[in-house]
Amino acid sequence: MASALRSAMLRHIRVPVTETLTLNGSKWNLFNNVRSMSSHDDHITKEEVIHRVLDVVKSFPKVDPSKVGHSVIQRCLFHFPHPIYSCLVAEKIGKNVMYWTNGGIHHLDGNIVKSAFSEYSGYDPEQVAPDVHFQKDLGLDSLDNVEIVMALEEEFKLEIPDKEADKIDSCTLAIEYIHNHPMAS
Amino acid sequence: MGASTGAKLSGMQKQVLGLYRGFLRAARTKSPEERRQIESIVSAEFRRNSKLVDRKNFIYIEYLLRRGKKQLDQLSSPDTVGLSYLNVSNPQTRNS
Amino acid sequence: MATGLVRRAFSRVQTSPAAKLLCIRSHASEASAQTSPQPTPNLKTFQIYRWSPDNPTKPELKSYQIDLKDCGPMVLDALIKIKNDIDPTLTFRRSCREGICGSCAMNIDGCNGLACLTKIPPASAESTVTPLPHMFVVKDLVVDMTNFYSQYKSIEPWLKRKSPPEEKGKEILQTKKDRAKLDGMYECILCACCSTSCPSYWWNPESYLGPAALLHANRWIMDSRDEYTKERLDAICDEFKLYRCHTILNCARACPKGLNPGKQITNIKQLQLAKGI
Repeated sequence: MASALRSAMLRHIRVPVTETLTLNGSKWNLFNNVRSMSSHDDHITKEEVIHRVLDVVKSFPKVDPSKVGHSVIQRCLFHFPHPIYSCLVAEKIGKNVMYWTNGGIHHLDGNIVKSAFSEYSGYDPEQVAPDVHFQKDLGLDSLDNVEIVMALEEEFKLEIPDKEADKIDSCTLAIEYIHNHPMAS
Repeated sequence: MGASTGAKLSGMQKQVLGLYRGFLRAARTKSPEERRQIESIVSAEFRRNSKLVDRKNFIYIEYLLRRGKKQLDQLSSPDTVGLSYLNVSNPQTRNS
Repeated sequence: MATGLVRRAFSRVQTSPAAKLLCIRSHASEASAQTSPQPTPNLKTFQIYRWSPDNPTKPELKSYQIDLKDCGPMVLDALIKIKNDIDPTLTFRRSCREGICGSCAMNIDGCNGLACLTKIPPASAESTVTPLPHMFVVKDLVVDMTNFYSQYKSIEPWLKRKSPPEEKGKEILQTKKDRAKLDGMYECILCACCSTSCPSYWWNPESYLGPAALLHANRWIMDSRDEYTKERLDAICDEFKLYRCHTILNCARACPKGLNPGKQITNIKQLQLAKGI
């Protein structure tokens, strides 16, 4: 039964495995095929970016550090780049999972998702870039949001223009912006 | 202002956040001690107003934005070393 | 009641000579009041724009009634009387009370002018006093002049020379004829009545320099001692800075000093043309 579900799921998530394996062997290329090609050799790795962004967020005075860590498990949203089906969203890694296809809503056992995902994408789900929303998940206000982005600016020695800074409201967006920034160090 | 989580920011909200960012940037250029002082004063003022000011009172918010802009211009000058404030309460002015 | 008010006015304004005159008069009226019946007051209502950041409700026009028989002839006298006797929170700028400082510029019955040079209209009608139009209000009749002053600054209103004066330490001389070219410009007191009456300035307050700043630009362009005439002309030769003037000439109507900024702007435009040829 489980194997049937597993194969059903794997049919839905067609992850570009071959590309992943050929490009630098980095597991992050799964989501960053295009970007990784343009990135510099001396550029900091995405893992480092994630690590440091989370550190900055965790050390923000008003943030409960456990909340950030907790969210890694609790609110991991994966947007599967699948062209045919609407994206599959895993709400709880390693726990119950719902996903939508145009065939309807399906339920999967968390362990299957976990193993299937790591098998096909080549990375550990526990280390997933957490989609922690500063205001929704951490209970911060828009002014705190500004402060966090400013703290990130200092950490990575960047100057983020107002237009971009206004958009950064979650760890994911922050990681993405900083990783793509050529001057980040 | 604080109530909008994830919602698209209005132009005026962006201006307010931009001003706040400007103050924090200006604070970076001062000595560490002054910087902490500036950050706590500015943060307290913005938070106080975010609770006190009616979010539809555009005339007043625009007034505060202009006043803040002027104060930021002064603070940004290299000649300005720090920021402090004085709490003046004058009950007489409230008669109007 | 009336005598009480008069006494208060007496104690407050005893410094200026005009006020002393007023005091003597009020003393006289006080004395006569004891013998003959009080003269009928000539009451006039002023509607005054009120807004304060300390109590940031919607701006409103507030009515004040004063006795013109007990007040100086100018609108500024009325405002000072209202502030002294009725409402001390009324806020406005004033200084010289003789039209030389330009502080008390405001809109009186729809026309920009200096309160100290505008006669109080007859008591039969109400008068409305509002801040200069299309300016940001700081409080009541006080407006934010930052943009206006920075535009004035942008035309570099000072003498600029490439060569030192012929005799070291001596002033740079000018013929009477050259000096006469500055008439109609040097008198400007930067009260902002002209700029804030200009519809073109209302729509482009930041990009268009406005009549006051352009008049001063021309004042330095026409100065025989200044050696940066061409640079000055180049600096303002701009679709917005200069050419938003459409010769509406509200500026000339509004100027409390009787100047014609529109004429000076035309002069700059002609010089720009001559330069092009």
